[in-house]
Formats: sequence, C-alpha cells, structure tokens
Amino acid sequence: MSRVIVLFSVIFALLPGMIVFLASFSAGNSLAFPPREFTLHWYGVILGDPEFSSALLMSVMLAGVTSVVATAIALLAALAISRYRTPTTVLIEAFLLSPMVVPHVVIGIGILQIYIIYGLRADLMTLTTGHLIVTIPFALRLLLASIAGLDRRVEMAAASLGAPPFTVFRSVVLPQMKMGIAGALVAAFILSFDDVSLTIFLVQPGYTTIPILLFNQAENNPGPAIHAASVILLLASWIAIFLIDRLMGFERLAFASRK
Amino acid sequence: MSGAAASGNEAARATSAGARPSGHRVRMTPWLIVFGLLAPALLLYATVYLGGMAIIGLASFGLGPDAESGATLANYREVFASAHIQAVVLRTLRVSAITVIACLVLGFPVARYITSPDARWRSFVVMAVLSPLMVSAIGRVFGWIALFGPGSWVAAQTMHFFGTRATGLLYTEAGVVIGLTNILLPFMVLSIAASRANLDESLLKAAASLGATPSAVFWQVELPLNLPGILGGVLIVFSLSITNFATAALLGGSGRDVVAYEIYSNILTYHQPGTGTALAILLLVCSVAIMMLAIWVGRRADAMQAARVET
Amino acid sequence: MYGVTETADGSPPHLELRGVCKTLGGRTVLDHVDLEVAKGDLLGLLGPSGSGKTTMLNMIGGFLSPDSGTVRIAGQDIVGVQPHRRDIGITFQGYALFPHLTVFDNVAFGLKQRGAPKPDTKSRVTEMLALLGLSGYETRLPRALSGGEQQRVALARALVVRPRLMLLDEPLANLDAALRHRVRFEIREVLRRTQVTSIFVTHDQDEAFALCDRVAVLNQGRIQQIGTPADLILEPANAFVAGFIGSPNMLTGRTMSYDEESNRATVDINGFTYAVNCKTRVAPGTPLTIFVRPEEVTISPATSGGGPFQVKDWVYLGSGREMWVDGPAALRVRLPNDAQGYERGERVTLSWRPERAHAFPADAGSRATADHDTAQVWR
Repeated sequence: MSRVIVLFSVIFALLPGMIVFLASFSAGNSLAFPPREFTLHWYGVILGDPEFSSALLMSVMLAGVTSVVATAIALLAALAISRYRTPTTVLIEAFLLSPMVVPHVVIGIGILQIYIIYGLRADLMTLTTGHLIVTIPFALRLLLASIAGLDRRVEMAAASLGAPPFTVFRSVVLPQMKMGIAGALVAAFILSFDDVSLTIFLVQPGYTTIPILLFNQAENNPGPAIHAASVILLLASWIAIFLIDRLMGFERLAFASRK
Repeated sequence: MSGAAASGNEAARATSAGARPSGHRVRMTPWLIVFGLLAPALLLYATVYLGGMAIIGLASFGLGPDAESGATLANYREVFASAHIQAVVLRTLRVSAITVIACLVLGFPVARYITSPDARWRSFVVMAVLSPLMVSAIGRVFGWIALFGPGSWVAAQTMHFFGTRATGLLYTEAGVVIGLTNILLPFMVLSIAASRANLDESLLKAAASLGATPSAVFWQVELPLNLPGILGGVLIVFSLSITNFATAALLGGSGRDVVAYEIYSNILTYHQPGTGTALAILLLVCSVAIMMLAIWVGRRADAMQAARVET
Repeated sequence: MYGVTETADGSPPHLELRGVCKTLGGRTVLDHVDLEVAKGDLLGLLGPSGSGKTTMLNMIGGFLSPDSGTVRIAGQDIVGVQPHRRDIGITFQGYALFPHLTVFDNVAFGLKQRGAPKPDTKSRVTEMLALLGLSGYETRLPRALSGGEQQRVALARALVVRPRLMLLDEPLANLDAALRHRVRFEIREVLRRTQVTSIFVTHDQDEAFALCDRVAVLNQGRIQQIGTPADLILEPANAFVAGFIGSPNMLTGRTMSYDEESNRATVDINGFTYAVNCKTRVAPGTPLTIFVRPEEVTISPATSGGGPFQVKDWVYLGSGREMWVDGPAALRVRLPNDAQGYERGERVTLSWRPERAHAFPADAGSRATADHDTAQVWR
C-alpha cells in the first residue's frame, strides 16, 4: 500500500511539469490537454515577443547579479561566523538566516514601503537588493556547511609553514570550497530567477521578470503560448537541478534547505 | 567548530602576523576582521530587511511619514473586527490544514521509502519528490490549469457529477490545496526523513526479538521515534502554507483570497496600507512563532538521538 | 522425537543447525553449517569479518531465512517462524535501547508484549535490574547512561523474559579495554546464574575464550572446528584454526619423513631438521605449513661455535617479553618478563615440543592464512 502512495507521490510531483512540457508542443489553441498535434510554433511566438524577451533579459541579469553578490556577501559572512564563534556571531548567524522563516510577502511589502518613502523606481539595483535578502540565507547555509566540512589542520599546517592568513584563505580554504561556492551560485540564481511572492511587490511596468509576466498572464486570459513560456522558465530550473546534482548532490542541497 | 578551534586559528593568525618581519604593516585585531566580513551582510539586512519591516510595523500602528495622527491600534482593531478578514483567515486555515494532512499522508510513506535500506529507486524518488523545492512553481502552475482547468477531463467530470463547475477544480480551494501540496510536500518528506535517518534497524529488530508483532513495532517504537520529524514537518508545512501567495492567487479564483493575497490587494490594489500592514505584522508573528517551534522540535529530536552509541 | 540428534553427553541439543546454507548477493555466506548447542551452554561463534557469523545470528533470530537446511530449538523447527514468536533474547552491537523509553520501560518492553500483569512486570524488572547492578536506574533515559550501563540494560531487557536462547552480538565491542574485562566477567556470571543457553558472536578471541565453554570457529561460511579453548589451541583441526587462534609463527618446510602411528613428521626448514605434529598423512617431499605459538618456542644460548638463530630485537609487552629471532626461519618467541635476557645479535638455539607445532599440507593452509605473511614483514 505504501508503495502505491510513493508511486503516486512521484507522479504527483512530476505531473504539472510534464504536462506543461507536453502542452508546449501542442498545435491546438486551447489550454486543454492532451495535445493533438505537435509543433514548435509557440516557442517561436514567445521568443519573438518583445515583452517576453525583455522580461527574460531582466530575469537573467537580475538572477546573475543577485547570485554573484549574494554568494560573495554570504561567503564573507560564513567565514566570519564559522571562524569566530562567539555568542554574538551565533546570534548574527540566526539573524542572517532569518529571512527563511519570514513570509516573502512581508519582506516584499517592507521593501515596497521603502521605495515609496524614498521615491525609488524599480530597476536592477532595487530589485537586486530585495532578491539578496531572500537568497543570502540559502547561500549562507550552503557555505557554512561547506566550511564545516573542511579540515582545520590543513590550514594550521599552512600557517605553521609561514603562510599569512589571507594566503591561507586564498590557497587552502577557497580551493576546497569550490563546490560549495558553485552550489551557492546556482542555488541563489535559481531562487532569484523563480521568485514571485517577493518580486511582485517590487516590479513596475517595464521592469518585470518572467515569473511575474506569467503570473500576470494567468490572471488574465493566457494564450496557448504560455506553455512554451513556462517551459523556458522551467528550463532554468532543470539545468540548475542538474548542475547542483553534479556539484554536490541534489540531496545535500535539499537537506540544507530544511528549516 | 568550537572555541578551541577558533582560538587555535586565531593563535595561528596571531603568530603568523606577529612572526612576520617588517612586511606586515597593519596589525588588525580579529574583531575588526570579523566586523569587516560581516559588514556587507549586516548593512544590507539592516536597511532593506529590518528597515522595511520596521516601516510596516510603524505603519500598522499608524505611525510613519504619511501618518495623520499618532500611534493607534485602529488598524489592528479593524483586522479583528472585520468579518471579511475573518473569512479570509478561516479560509487560509482551512486550506492550510488540509494541505498539511495531504502532505502527511503522502509524505510519510515517501520518507519511509527513501530511508529504507533496500530501496531500489531511491535516488530517483528523492529527485522527483524533492524537485518542487527548486523547480519554479509558476512554471508548473499552467500544468495544473491544463490538468483540471476549463476544458480538461477533470472539468468534464466535475461538470458531470456536480453539475456546475465548468472550470473544473480551478478557482476552487481544492485546486489551491492540490497546488500547495505539490510544492510543500518536499518539506514534509525532508523533515520526516531526517528524523528517520536516526532510526536504527537494530531497534526494530530488538523490538521484534522481544515479542513485538509488526504492528506493535510500528506503534510502539517506529512512530514515537518519528514523532518529532512528523511534528516538525507539520509545523513547517503549516507555516509555509498560511503565508503562501502565488499558488493561492493563481489557482484560487474565489478561493484565492487568503491572508497573503489579502495583504497584497490591500496594499497594492486598494492602497489601504492600514489593515494591510497590520495583517502583515500579525502574519509575520504567527508564522515566525510556528517556525521557531518547528526548529525547537527538530533540535529536541536530534538531542534524543545524540547519545546513541556509534557502532 | 523425530529427527532429534544427541550431543556428546546424551541430552538432545537445545539449538541445532543442520546443513544451513545461505547466499547473499551472489556470495555464499553460509556453507552447509552444522551446529549443536546443549542446554545451558555458552557457545562462542568466532571468526573474522565476512565469515558469516552475523548472518548466522540473523538467521537464528529469524530476520533471515536459510536457503536450505534446518534450524531447531528444543527439537522444534523454527524456520519460517516470525522473529517476535521465537522467544530468543538478542543483544545487539550498539545495544539498540529504545531512546524514547526509560530504563524501566526498556526492560519491561518484552514483558509488555507478552501481556504480563503490571505487578508481575514490576517485580521481575526490579529483580533483573538488581541482578545487573542497575537498581535505582529505573527512570533514567538511555542517553544518560554510559556504555557499560547501556550494555547491562540491554542484557536485562533480553533476559527478563526468560528466553529459551540468548544471542549476543559482539557484546564487548564498544567498551574500552579496562571496562571490557569487568563486564566480561559480569556477563558470564549473569548468564550462568540464569542458566540460559547462549551464543556469543565475536571476532575477538580473548573475549570468546573468556566467556564461552565451547567455541565454534567460522571462516568463509563453514565451521572449521568446534571445541573448548584448550582443544582449539592444542589440537587445531586445520591450518585456518591453527593460524587464527593466538598469533602463531608460521613456517614453511618440506617433509622428510612421516610416522602415521604417532602423527609425527620430520621436516626440513631451510636446512635444519625439526619434528612436528601432523594429522594428515604426508609423503616425503610434501611442502608443509607449520604453526608454532611464540609461547611454545624454547630459546637457549647457542653452544660455542654459534647456533643457527640470531636474536634481532625484543620488546616488553607487559605480559611478557617477545623476542624476534632470525635464522632458517623468522620467529617470535615469548618469554616471561623475568626470564634470562638475550643480547641483540646473540646467537641462540630454538626448539619446541613436537606436539605443540602443528603442520598441515601447504596448499590447504595457504589461502586461509594469507594474512599471516604480512605479519612477518619485519624480516
């Protein structure tokens, strides 16, 4: 019996993605499923749509900047937290990880209020700062775990051989953290790329991301090209999962994102 | 990662910094370094994160730049008094409770499977069931729409049996539950699986050797030891589901108006920051409290297994 | 009763395995195992890792089924009987105490499953805890106990239901050396007192010899020999047993002659002649593997003109002195601490009593005792 449930769960988890994927090739005009004919028509439509391509560009740039900056900031913080463990730094660690337990909507409207008060417009920088808040906790988690796995004695050996702290960091710690850093970059990228509930408070017409575009389309009447658009969005996720699995094993990331 | 190791490192740094000949110009104390490393993060958080929430907090009490009068509890009073908001909260709780149950029913067997030693499809199941953690929910929502929205087979069946809904399960609370369960199931599975990883096969064998029937082994040994994981999972899924925005907004239709959506429409659509901010603060407090409880339960579970003998 | 065989002293065996075979993952883990244990016996199952002892334990406990063969307790066939109906007490490596139950509830668990009335349970548990020196521990949780205490709770839990058989899996493995000796004694006492037939699974010889009346040596799924510790040391049945028990010297030589009546063979070891004990009939010229324990080698100063052996080095081991001697063969010799010492480089003569040197035809021994060669690496 429980095997049946497991099977059902697997199908359930994969179902909507598979349907979107298949429907994106459907020649039919409706959103119905299963499709009757197969075509790549909708991909052409969506990629030619200026609104879509500018949103795609925005999404990619935003996610790229966010992931790099988030990983950098998180790396510095992770080093500080793991190497200088005092009650203060433990508290700081909890603080930096806290956005994971705070609803995105609340963070979103908080940032929105700041916009309003300071008369800011939505642009790459303002969107990035918002995304940083929700991606840094994950990057931090991953990097802390990566640092925790290092053998301190190698660093002590380097120091005993005359290497100053920065050199120890550069030539001993950093190379060993390559996987963790890459994992953090990918995770931060995809979190930013997919985000809706925070971003929706921060976007304005002209500056929107792919997920928000899809969100708005869904509220109104989406055309059949929506499935192609969704698949392009999903493509990023699938590539991210593949990369993460290669880098550190998907399972490790999943367990690291446990609250 | 204790003080001993840290001070060992500090000692290493101190000796290397001190032992160096004149080349090392500035002698920085560890505290300065720590502060320097944490500064970007703290700065960012303080301004954007804390700052934003502080503004909301203030606004909920009627304070802030565009406030008319002084501090007031009017917003909160309105939140509690409003029948509309009460209905919203009830709907949110209802949907969340059912989602938790669904996640539990599906999640426990999955967690059990992936932690059992002879699971052949283990990595595949792990990847599949945990994928929603990383795969965009928005990207997949149209899959649901296609599956049980207008024009689908499910819609035809519901029309047939219930007469009315031409939109199938779309725009119903049931649809929201399905969508939420889909994205929150991984959290339940992770929580239970983590506590199961500590469950030793020899415990089950010991119980059997002492005369416990398979059913007794489950109820008296397996389940009690899984309880923290189950509880933690329940709390996490509940917390994430009461704060959910996107899935409910898209799949809910009339059922879309959950707390998060109410906040959204209050602030963005109707520009009523008053009740919106008050509701946001209340939501924040509740969800953080539940999450903290979940973390605490998780810690207790780890502690229970901590003293087990390693073989 | 049909099919019941009798043990040496005439009573029917309490536990009996006949022709038990088991293959796991393509590997033959148990290969036609025959075993008999009399009631009240303490039997040791000794063998290197991979020898199949854990599999045998799982099989007797009911967690695995044999591919063929029978397992009987008190004449009753138990193959196919579920573990919870076998009435066999098991202590596991790592103790497997229920972390969410107190010591009292842990020990009472088996009684609870059998539906024993509360007052009964209470008195039996209290009695058992007293027997194991755990009075006053009733409300403690496993995580608050030391390794030795957990071990005793595990024992109490298994014994309180008065099982008809006890299986103990490496009971002393997780304890440090000092504790081991004490706990070893306590376990033996408790088992004797309760008169429970017990089987110890272990890879540690000292443990097996100290705890058990008889020991069964297992290797590659087959029982090599069953006997008292004395039997195994003084009369090993084959090369594996001879090489496994104690850490004997392993020498190679060539048969010169063989006397069937006395089971004596004269061997040529690199030009020197020695007499050894050999159970199998060997023709002259047959290569032999000879095992001599360091304790059995007699060392004496060489007569003038130099002896064949030369002392290389020696160490104090606490329990005695071990000398490393080189010559026609490399040998370790054990001497008491206060025995006459020898200088490094001094020439000496070695000898042994023929019946204490066990020889076996070389091919039979080579596979099973391959590990031995590495022990001679100092040469």
